[in-house]
Amino acid sequence: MGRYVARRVLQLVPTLVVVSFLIFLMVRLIPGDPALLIAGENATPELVASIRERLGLDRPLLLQYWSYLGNVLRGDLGTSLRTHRPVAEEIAARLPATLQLAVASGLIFTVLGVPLGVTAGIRRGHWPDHLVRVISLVGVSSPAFWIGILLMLAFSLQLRILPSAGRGTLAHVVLPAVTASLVGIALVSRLVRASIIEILGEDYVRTARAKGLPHRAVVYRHVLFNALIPAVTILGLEFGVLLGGLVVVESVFAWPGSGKLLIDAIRMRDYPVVQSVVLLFAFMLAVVNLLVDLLCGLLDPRIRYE
Amino acid sequence: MTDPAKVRGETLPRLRRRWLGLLGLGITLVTVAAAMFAPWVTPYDPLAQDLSVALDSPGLQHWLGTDQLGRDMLSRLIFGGRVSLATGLGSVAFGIATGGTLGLLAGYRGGWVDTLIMRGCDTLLAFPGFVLAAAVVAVLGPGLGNLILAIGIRAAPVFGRLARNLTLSVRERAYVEAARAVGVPDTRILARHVTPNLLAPVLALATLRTGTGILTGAALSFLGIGVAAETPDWGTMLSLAQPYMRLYPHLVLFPGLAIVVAVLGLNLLADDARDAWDPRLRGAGREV
Repeated sequence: MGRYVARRVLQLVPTLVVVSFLIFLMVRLIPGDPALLIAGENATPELVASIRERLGLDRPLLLQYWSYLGNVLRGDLGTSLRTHRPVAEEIAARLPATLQLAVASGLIFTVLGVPLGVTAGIRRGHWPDHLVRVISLVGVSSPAFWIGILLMLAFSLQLRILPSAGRGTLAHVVLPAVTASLVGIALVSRLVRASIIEILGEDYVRTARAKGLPHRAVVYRHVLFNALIPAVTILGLEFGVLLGGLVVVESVFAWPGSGKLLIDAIRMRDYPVVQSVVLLFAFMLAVVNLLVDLLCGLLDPRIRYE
Repeated sequence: MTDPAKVRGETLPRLRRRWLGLLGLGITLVTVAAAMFAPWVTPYDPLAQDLSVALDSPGLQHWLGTDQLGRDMLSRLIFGGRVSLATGLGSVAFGIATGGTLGLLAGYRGGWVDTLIMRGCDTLLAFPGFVLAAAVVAVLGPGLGNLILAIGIRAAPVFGRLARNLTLSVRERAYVEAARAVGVPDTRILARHVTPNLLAPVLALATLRTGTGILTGAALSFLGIGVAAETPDWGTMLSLAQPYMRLYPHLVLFPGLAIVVAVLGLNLLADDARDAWDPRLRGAGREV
């Protein structure tokens, strides 16, 4: 098990190297002088010169990348053009807000999505199934930012019972978390439903039925747990979708997280911040996929650590 | 003898599904037609400002009301459909032209070509989709063309993987082997024997990804990093309407509904196509 984990962690390295190389290239692909882009339009010639020095633009591209990678690994992500603070500090200040929102919306879509999917799968072809199908179709077709705006309009501007923007009290979390969870509910209920239906067709379920086990016992003992494993795997693959949703929802509700930081930085052409947040999100996606893989290996003894 | 109740239980859902697919087809055709014939079916110029009727509620003069500058909402929505469809279809066309072609090549050639192209796909898929599109926009700058390119780059690896996997299985079929054995050139084998087998699943995925492209484009424009603010677009309309929405909810209601209806139509159509053609595409179409 230990060796398997170590090997899976090592497999992350090449992916992250290529991803970071692309992100490094990002600034160099923009037409114009990278040093000028990173320094910003109103920079003094001295600043531009010092950045040019730091980037080593006269050196070969691979050497430039090598020093970029070294800086990133040492936690030096550059300086924000807008605030002139280290990018690492800017991100660290906003990460807790993003994690809070992610956990809150994750709780909501798990608590609502799993039972919906289970009911739909077990009552396939009946009204709970149709209801879940409608929910997931509409959920997948609706832009999260629009649902967020409507919720804000209803609960903040009309009813005035929830704050519309910012972070602080627990009430601030409600609207962004509910908005961000909608995609998750649609995804989870659909995945769990498909998974339940698949497991219900397995031989061991038929055996359990044949030996006279009551329906309830079959579902609880043989179906539920086994159905959750594939659902968790696929949900892990869809983590990028949920992360993208968070970026949008944070901006709608002025939630001071790393997603809003990314969009603000793109608007202000604050490239050091854009590069670092994109790298962070790719890293998070890779780590979550790894954790999901390991978790499934732990839960399902049939997955061998070869 | 077959139990009639059982037949009914199995046939009805299938028929209902076909019905949903037809509904999706209908919605999509109406959306496309409205966008194509926008200058002829809109009652007003979508850019014409008339401050004397600013923030009019829906009524007989302006069916869906007017915005803060007195521009006709219905006309703007119909023209906005052009931007959305251009984003959705354009990004899918780019994805098929680049990713689809490379995937075909990877699957047919195999070996290091396959490895190289698939590693490239993996790299692009290592980014959260929406974040990748936003990052590409950050490099290219705003504007419709760049928006299409950004979303297209995100769609490319999805089509690449599908085309590659399908080609791998088609390549092994006896008629391809026979064609190769009698010396038919590779380009002809690809064009005559392989590509036709990919069309149906790729079209099903294309329908799905068109909806995804519309959603992603609308979100980027809403955030102010998509098309220019003066363009009549569903995302920018929602963004500009926010300050007025408390008193004039129609400003945020209709553009959002337009997005939902257009994307729902495509998703219903894609669901139907997927059921008919390819069950492997489940869950492969959502970014934000």
